[in-house]
Amino acid sequence: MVTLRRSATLATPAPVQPVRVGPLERRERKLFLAFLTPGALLAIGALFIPVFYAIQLSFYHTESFIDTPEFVGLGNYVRIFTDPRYWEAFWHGLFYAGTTVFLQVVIGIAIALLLHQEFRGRNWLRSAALAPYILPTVVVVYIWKWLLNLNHGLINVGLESIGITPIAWFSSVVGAWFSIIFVSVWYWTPFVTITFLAALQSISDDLYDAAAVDGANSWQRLLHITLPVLKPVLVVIIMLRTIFMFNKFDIVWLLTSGGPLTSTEHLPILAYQKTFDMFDIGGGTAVATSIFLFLTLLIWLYFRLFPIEEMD
Amino acid sequence: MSDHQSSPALYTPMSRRRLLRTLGAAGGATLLSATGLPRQIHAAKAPTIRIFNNETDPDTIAFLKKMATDYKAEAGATVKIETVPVMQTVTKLTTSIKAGKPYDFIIYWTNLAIQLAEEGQLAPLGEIIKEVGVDDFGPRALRKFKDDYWIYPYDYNFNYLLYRKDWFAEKGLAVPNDWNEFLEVCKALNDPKNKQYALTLPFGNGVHTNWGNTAFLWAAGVEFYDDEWNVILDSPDIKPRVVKTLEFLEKVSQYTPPGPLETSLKDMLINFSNGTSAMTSYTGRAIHTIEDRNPELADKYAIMSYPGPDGGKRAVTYGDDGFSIGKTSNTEATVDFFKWFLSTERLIDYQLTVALHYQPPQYSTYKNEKWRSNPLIQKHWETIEVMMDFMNTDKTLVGSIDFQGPQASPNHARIMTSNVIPKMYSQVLLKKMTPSQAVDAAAKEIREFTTRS
Repeated sequence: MVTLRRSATLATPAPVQPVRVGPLERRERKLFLAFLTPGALLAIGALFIPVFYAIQLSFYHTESFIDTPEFVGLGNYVRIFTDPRYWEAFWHGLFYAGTTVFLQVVIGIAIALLLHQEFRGRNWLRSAALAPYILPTVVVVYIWKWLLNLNHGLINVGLESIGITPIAWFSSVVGAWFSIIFVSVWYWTPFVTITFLAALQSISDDLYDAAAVDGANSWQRLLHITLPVLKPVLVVIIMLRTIFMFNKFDIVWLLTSGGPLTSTEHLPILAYQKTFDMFDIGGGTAVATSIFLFLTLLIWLYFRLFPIEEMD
Repeated sequence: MSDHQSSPALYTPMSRRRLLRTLGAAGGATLLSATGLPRQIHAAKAPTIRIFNNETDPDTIAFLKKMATDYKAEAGATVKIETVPVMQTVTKLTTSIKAGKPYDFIIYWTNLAIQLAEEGQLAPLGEIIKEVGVDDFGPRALRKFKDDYWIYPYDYNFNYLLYRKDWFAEKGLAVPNDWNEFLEVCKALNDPKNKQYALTLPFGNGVHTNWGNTAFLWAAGVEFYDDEWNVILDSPDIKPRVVKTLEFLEKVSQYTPPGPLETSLKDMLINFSNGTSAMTSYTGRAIHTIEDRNPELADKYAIMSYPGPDGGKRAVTYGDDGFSIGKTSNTEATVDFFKWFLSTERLIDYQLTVALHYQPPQYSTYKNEKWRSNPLIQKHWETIEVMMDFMNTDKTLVGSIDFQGPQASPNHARIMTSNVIPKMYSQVLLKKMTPSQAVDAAAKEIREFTTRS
C-alpha cells in the first residue's frame, strides 16, 4: 500500500507525508524488540565482547589474565609470524582439516547413498549410522584412547593375539596422526551423512525416471542427477566442515595434546598452549585472531569460487 | 480485534510505563548481581569460603566434604569445595580472579603461587607459619617471596623409585649406586619376551614427566639459571651434565615398556602393581595402589632415591603441594578457618586420607600419635624411615624445577607448563636429535620466555 502511495506522488511532486504507524504495528515492533533483545544480548555478551577482548589482548604483552597488560602494537603478530612453530602448526591445521573433510564427505556421501536405498532394516541402520554423532566428544575420545592404549587397549591386545606387534599409536608421528584423523572422521561423518540423506530425499523421482527412460545407468544417474542437484549442499557442507575442522580443538587436545612433541599441534592447540601453558596471552590471542582472519578470508574466497546463488 | 486480545487472561497490553518499569527492575537486578552486593550482604551474615582443590583422591574429597559440614556446625560458615585436576590449575585460578570470583582457600601444586603473590592475589601466611614454628618444617619446605611465606606445605610429594626387592634378591642385585650400576640392574631385570620390563618411567609432555622423571637431572647437578636469572642450561659447566643425563635416559628407555612417550601416571601405578615392571617412579600413592590391587606385594617392595652419575649424593624430586589463602573479601574468615583446620588436627586427618602418599613436611607430624598409629603408617614403617631419610640433606639432594634460580619465581611455572624438559627427552627419543642439540633447543626456549617476562 505504501509503495503505491509513493508511486502516485511521483507524478505530482508534493511533500512526503510521514507514514502513520498504527497501534498494531507499534505493538509488533515491541514484540519484535522483545524477541530480538535476548538473542542480541547473548550474542554481545557471549560472542562479540569475548572476540573483541581477545583481539584487544593480541596487541598487549601480558603474562596472565591478572597481569597488567602492556601495549606492544603489532609486536605479538610479528613474533608469531616469524616463529617456525606457528607455520608448522598452520600447515598441520590445513592437513588435518583437508584430510578429515575429504574423508568425511566421501564416506558420508557413500553411506547416505546406501541408506537412501530401499532395504529391510533401513531405519534401524540409519539410527545406528548416526550413533557416533550423538555421543559427547569426551566420551568418544576416551573410548578410543582406551581402545588404542598401548599396553591394555583392546585393539593392541587383538593385534597381539594374531601375532602383530602392538602399535604405540600416540608415541609415533604417523600413529598420532592416524589416531586423530580416524577418530575425527568416525565422529563427524554422520553429520555429513544425515545432511546428504535429507538432501537426497528432496530429489524428485521424476528425474531418475526420465533418466532411466533415456537409458542412463546408475553410475550416470549419480554423476548427472544426484551430485549436480546436491552441489549446493556439498558446497555448504565442505565450507562448514572446513571451518569446524580447522578450529577443532577438543579431539586433538584430548587425544594427543598436539604431541608427540609438536607433531600434531595445529593453531588452536598452539593458541591454547601459548595462552595457558606458556603464559603468553598476547601471543596466544594473536594466534587465535590469525585463525579468525584466515577463516574469514577462506570463506570469502570460497564463496567467490562457488557462489551458492548461481547454483540455485 | 483478534481472539487473543478479547481474552484479558491471555493478553495484557504492554504499556510504556510497564515496559520501562520491567526494564528498570531487570537492569537493577543485573547491576546488583554484577557488583556482588547480594553476595556481600550474605557474606556479612555468614561467610561462604570457596575452596579450590587439586587433590582428586576420593578419600581426600570425602574428607574435605565432611570437614565442610563440621565447620558449618562449629563456626556457622559455609565451605564449598571445587575439585579441579592439576593441569587445569592455571586456567581455573586466573580466570576465576579475572571473573571477580577468586577462591578463598587454595589446595594445589603450588608453582603458580608466586605469580599469584606477585599480583597481590594471595594473603601472606608468615604469621601462621611463625605460630607453628619455622623450625618445624623440613629442608626446602618453606620458601620466602617478598619477605613472606605464601604457601603452607602439607606434602613433600617426593618422587622416588619403588622397586621389587624380591626380584632384586632373586637376581642377586643390590640397590644401584651409580648410573652404570643402574643400567646393569635394568638389563638384568628386563624380560620383554615375558612382558616384564625393568622400569616404568614417563618421557612425554606433562606434569608426570616434569615431576616423575627429573631426579636424574638433579642427581647430575643440572641447573637452569644462575643467581641472576641467566639461563645456564647450555653453559660449558652444565651442558655436559645434561647431555650425559640425556644419553643415560636414552639407554634407560630401552628397558621400559614400549611407547615411553605415552606413559602416564596411571601406567606407572598399574605396571608396578601388576608386575609388569620391576621399578617405577612415584610416591607412596603406588603403595596404596599395591594395597588396593595386589596386597601380596605389600612386603615385596622397597623404595630408593635416584643414584647420581658417578655415585655420591642421591636425589629425589620435590613436588610442592600446599595451601594458600586468597586475598578476597573473605580473607579474614578464611584465616580463621585455616587456624581452626590446624588447631583441630584436621591437617593430620587430611594427610592420613592417603597416608603414605602425603609425606608431611613438618617434623612434629612424625611424632604425632594420631599419625603414627595409622595402620598403614605402622605397616609400612620401614618405607617411612627411608622417606624421612629424603629429608636429610646430608644423604639426599632434593631437586625441583621450583628450586631453579635465586628465588621463587613465575619462571618455574613456565618451565613446567611449557614442557621444556619432556620436549628435550622427546627430541632425543622421537626425533633422534643429538642430546647436545636438544639441550640447545631447550635453553633457547627457556631464554625466550625468561626474557619476555
